[in-house]
Amino acid sequence: MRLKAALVFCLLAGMVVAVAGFAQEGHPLTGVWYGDWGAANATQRNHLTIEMNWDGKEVKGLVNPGPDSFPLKVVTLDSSKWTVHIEADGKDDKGMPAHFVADGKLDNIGSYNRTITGTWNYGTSKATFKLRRD
Amino acid sequence: MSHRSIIVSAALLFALITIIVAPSLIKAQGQQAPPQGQGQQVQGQGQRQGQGQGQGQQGRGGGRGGRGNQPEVPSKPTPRWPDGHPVMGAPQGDKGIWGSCCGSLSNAQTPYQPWAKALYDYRRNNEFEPHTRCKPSGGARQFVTPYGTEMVEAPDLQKIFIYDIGGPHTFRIIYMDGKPHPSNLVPSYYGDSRGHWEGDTLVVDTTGFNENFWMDRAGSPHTDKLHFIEKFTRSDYNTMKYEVTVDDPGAYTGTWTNSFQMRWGANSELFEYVCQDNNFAPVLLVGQEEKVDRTSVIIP
Repeated sequence: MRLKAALVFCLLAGMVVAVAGFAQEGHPLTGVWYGDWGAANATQRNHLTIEMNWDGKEVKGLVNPGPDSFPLKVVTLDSSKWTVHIEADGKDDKGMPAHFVADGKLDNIGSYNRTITGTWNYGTSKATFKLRRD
Repeated sequence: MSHRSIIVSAALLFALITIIVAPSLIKAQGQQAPPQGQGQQVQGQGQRQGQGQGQGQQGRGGGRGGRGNQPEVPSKPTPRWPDGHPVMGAPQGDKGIWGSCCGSLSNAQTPYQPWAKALYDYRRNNEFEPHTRCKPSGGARQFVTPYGTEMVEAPDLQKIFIYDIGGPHTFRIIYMDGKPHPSNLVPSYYGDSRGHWEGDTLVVDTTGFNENFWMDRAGSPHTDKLHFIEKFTRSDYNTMKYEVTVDDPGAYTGTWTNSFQMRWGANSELFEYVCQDNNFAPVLLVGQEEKVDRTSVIIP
């Protein structure tokens, strides 16, 4: 049992190191971003994963890759201010269709664990989001 | 005369003397400055010692160091193989390495995409280079590795190896067998290099890079669409002209070219240098650190 636990631990540790090793120094938005969104003062926030990829002309990607994923519709980066604008059509936390508009600020650009924080709005609801690139 | 008056008078006298004497002192210092040529030679030596921080000035590559102020000895002719093409490294019975060259590939004409220019500018002020975390450095960045690079030709294997010394103990392979790039390349630090001869020039075409490194010391960004064409011309025993064309539609609006010179460092050779052994930033190695210690010198 202890051996099994040690093996699992080693496997997980190896995965963490491997992920950390995949540094990405190209387009600042390319990569998989993890975080959450929700009302600014909410105790329970919604998990958020965004996968983005720069193809040389535009950024494409998915929100929450998996069975409930939906594609990014618009992603723009203003590199003069390092601000990011994202739009996507998906489902809100109640499963209803929603048009998401996110505006955020890219920080810690030199790190592959850079972050984006900002507002995450849909319909009349206003929320905040934070993402960290892993 | 009061005590206060004495102090004020002394201060005025000191200021007067300073105004009169200072210009002549400055002039005298200027006359003692070394001639232009000597100054440049010292700069070349410093650059070699500080490889990894090179400014990429054309024709000022590392490798001049070690001779101090002695007059430069005329170079021997380009060494050649029996078939006539230049020897890229040390000929049989000799040893030597190439000093660093190209700290910054880009210049005022570099056709950046806006995000790439912004990122380049950011990196100039916020160095966080993967090389400092002992990651391999592909492209032209390989030739700015501390302590230089050694080129080893293996004609029987139809390969040329380029070993960078002051890094994570890695090397690049240039395949000389005439075969094209594989279609299923896995992106890597050094990419897939294919070389051929055009007269006395070794032309190397490299693609299949990953995005995990900086392609030059200055931080010119690239994407996985990067395609490098390098031309190596050993014009005499001590001089290698290095021309590089960058083709990366992911980060630039057009192709661009720059050229440099590498200088031969005689009587030097590869030695065991393990970046990880003495790295001063171990937390950077596993990516937990998010800021650079600016008080530290460039690592390694």
